[in-house]
Amino acid sequence: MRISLAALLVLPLLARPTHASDDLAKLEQQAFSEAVSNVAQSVVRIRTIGGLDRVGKTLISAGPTTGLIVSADGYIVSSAFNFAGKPSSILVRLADGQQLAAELVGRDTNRMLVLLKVNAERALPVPTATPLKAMQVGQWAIAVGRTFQTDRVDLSVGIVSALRRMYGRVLQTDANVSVANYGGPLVDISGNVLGILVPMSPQPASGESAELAGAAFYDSGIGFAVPLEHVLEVLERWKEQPELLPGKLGIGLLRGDPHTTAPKITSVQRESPAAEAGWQANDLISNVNGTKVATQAQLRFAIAPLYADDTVRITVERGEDTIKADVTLTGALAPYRHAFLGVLPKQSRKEDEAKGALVQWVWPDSPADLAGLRAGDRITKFDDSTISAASNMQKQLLAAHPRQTVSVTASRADQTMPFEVTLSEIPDTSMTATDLESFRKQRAAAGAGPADLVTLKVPEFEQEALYYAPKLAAAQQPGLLLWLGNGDRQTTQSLVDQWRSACDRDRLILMVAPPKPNASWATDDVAYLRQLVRLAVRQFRVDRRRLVAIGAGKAGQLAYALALGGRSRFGGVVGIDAPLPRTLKLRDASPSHRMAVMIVQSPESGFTPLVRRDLAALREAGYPTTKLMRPVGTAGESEIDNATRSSMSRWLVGLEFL
Amino acid sequence: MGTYGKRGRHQLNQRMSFTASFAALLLLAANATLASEFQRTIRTAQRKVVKIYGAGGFRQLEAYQSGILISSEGHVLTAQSYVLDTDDLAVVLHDGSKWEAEYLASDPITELALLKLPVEGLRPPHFDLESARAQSALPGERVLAMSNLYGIATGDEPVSALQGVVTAVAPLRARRGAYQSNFRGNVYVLDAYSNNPGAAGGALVDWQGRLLGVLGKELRSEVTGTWLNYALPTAAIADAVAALREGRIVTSVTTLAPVEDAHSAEQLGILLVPDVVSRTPPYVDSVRRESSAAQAGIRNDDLIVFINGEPIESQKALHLTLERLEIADPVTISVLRSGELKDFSLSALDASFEEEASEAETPAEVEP
Repeated sequence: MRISLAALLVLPLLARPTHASDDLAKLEQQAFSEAVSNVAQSVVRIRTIGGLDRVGKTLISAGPTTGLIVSADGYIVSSAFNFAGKPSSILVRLADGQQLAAELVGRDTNRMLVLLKVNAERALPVPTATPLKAMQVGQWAIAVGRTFQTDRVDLSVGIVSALRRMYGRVLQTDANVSVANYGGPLVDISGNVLGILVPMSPQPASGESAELAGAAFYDSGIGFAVPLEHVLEVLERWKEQPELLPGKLGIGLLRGDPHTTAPKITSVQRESPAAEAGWQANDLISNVNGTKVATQAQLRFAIAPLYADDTVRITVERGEDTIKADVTLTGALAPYRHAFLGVLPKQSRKEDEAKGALVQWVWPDSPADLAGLRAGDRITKFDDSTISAASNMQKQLLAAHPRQTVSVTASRADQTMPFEVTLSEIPDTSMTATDLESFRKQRAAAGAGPADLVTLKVPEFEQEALYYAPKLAAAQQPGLLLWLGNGDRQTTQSLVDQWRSACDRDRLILMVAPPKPNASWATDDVAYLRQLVRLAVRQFRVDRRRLVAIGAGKAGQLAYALALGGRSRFGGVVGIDAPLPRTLKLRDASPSHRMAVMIVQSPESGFTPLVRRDLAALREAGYPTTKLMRPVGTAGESEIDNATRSSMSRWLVGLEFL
Repeated sequence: MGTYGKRGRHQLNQRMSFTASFAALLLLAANATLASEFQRTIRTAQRKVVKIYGAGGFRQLEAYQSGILISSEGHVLTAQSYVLDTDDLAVVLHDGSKWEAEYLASDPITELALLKLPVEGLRPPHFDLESARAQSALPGERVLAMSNLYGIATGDEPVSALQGVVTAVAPLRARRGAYQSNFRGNVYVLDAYSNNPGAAGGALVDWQGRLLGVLGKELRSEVTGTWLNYALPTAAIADAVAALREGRIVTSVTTLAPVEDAHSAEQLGILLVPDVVSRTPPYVDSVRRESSAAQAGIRNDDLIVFINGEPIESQKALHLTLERLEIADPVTISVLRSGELKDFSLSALDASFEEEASEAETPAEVEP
């Protein structure tokens, strides 16, 4: 009966018409029920205990969710959405009512699935997968969950709307897909399983967790399912390798519309699969596993379905040459690390251009120091590139990597000297006070600025920032400390008084920004601060390497959000007794821009464990991060003790070094 | 909630466009007769569903909703809501005829209200709720939701028809903000996007046009956190509606209130780990010696997952569940211990009963 019904209803749009004759409607309905009862034994109800009640801004419902048995020995697949709250325990209720403890044994972050395991006493019923090849747009698709009822499954009827969606990873249906059935099967009219229902979104909204992405569109008529055939294919591998990650190549591509722009490589990340394949900037990817690719969208279609550790044969065109390589994709690209030479080049004036970068000072024990470079040397060549000015050398260093050995040519007293320098990572420590003292003696300080604070106002905001600027010579480019204050005039004045001499000595402008009148700092103040920085950088010709955001407590968290979030171009950020904001998604350090972080902490602060975690996370992401402990009993935002201030200003000087 | 047009209209469009292409394939005449059956079903049902216009129209509070005719004397059943909170209540029938409605009464549990139109012998087509009482549908059955959702039927036109299937028949556990639905019985959960603004009070019918239920107000499911598409079944509302028609107002609201002599974790001898987050798992920190928990065999580090078969997601859920259990009744506590699920039956110990009893017997100090 089922077979014949199924045959009758394979193409619903032909069979379905206006034939509202009772017979056909009844037959269809009967076919839905039979299809569902065919698979119901494999659909389990999942309950979680503990865990978060919200992820980001999204409340996680405590209700039950659904899973699908995929092996007789107790493996169950579900949607990652159902586990976004990181529950402490998982319980599975089989169709016959038996309750079993389950363990989360695998994740597939490319298709947002999880793998659970229960110890079943008997062989569990595994459904049959509809072959991918047999799937057709327009065929019946029934979404099945086990959320609303305990002893029955829930169902929603629709059709397969599309195949190979989301870059070839999922199929699409117009059956209702929501929390009520994520993790459950999408069933065809014969009771075979088309796929596992999941939420999915091409790009998670900012601040949204990947597990929840796409769930907000549950009433859009667009639902997704990961083909069960695919899940069964990778199941053995998944058991061995609990984390199935999206496969990455480690390349940057030409900017432009992905559907029209050629897959031309602009950058190759170090130690990435692309680097191992020997690819270079300007190579053009032309073929992936025998399929021609002409656009970036086509390349993504070819790569997105693959996992880390999958090997693909990729052809690149380099000029006249065609290079084929078997590339093994990686799950995690090493974050970019900036290379460090250890010299402070003099800001070059127009007339000095093309003469090379004049070394003003060498960081003690840095690669430059160890190689024998001295203050007064003029660097003219860095590997094969001619260095005409300091900015030039900065670019070269961005392209180099730590531990790389480079040949540097410098002229010293009209003599050209070669140096072999093994670069290092940017040091996490500041220069010692003694080292810095001798450096400062050599460098001209700025003159004292006006005694009264000056106001700077961004037209469209009501806040008024106050600043102190030393008197600078024409060639002196200042740094800018953007201090997120508390809006109190008195506190601001005493803060400036404490820092005044450091500002003169190291050519720094101290700008204290207030929160909105009668309010404390809030996330939306970031917009104001960005405008303020833009205005100040233009007005004072600020040296961006020494553009630093500083704040204590909540203001410190906002300073982090300002400097680490978005496309800001700060050279550094200092957080005083402030953990990273919880909503901040820490991105890997940018290869095109260097930024250092200083964490200042009071022993009395309650954030010690958080700060320890932040420090590790920041270093992991590739930010040179320095931690500074304040002496006991000196906590307080407006009163920075002398020792801490001295350490902070030494760190600030370090930002100028290349 | 979905923006206008985002929800629900896809399937309808698909059907309509299909109708056209099918007509090209088949003999026009034959098609017309086949098609007419389904269309007649819809047309007949549409005549029994009305549009109601009343208070609202600001702050996303729509000034309209739907209703169904349930008697030849002009009784209209609809959802009790702010829309009815006006002396100027207009009801528009399928043909565009407009009536001033009289508000008769409402039922607090089903949150349905009864209106009356001065039809005076006109005998409008209507659903017979008494005979519909016996109608029911199972999950998977195809249904039609008829309502004036989004107020889209603006002129002299009948309400919209949405098709779908019954997703589930399950208890209504739903709320909107702080408001929780009073009705907690089984409802039809639907897979059509049927419960959008203006749909409350509309009809759920089967493919033969028989009334299955009344569309409810917009609510979010407490189970899934998503907006719910549902209808109150005829069997569950028939008594209340009959009472409204007879002028009897039913007011009893059954709630799961805490019982007076209830179980508690403390009294069972279970001390939980500190409740620090909103969903702290109910791990047993220690078990009091010689308590009922100790005697039953509950141990430190057990994770309590069920009480009398009710899932316990957090310590808060554990306390709420125990509060509702009479101390005289034994409780079954299921725990997770090194990956194994274990059941324990606990009874309050006699000793503690006696203790409490003797305390109660000591004469209370009388305060002036």
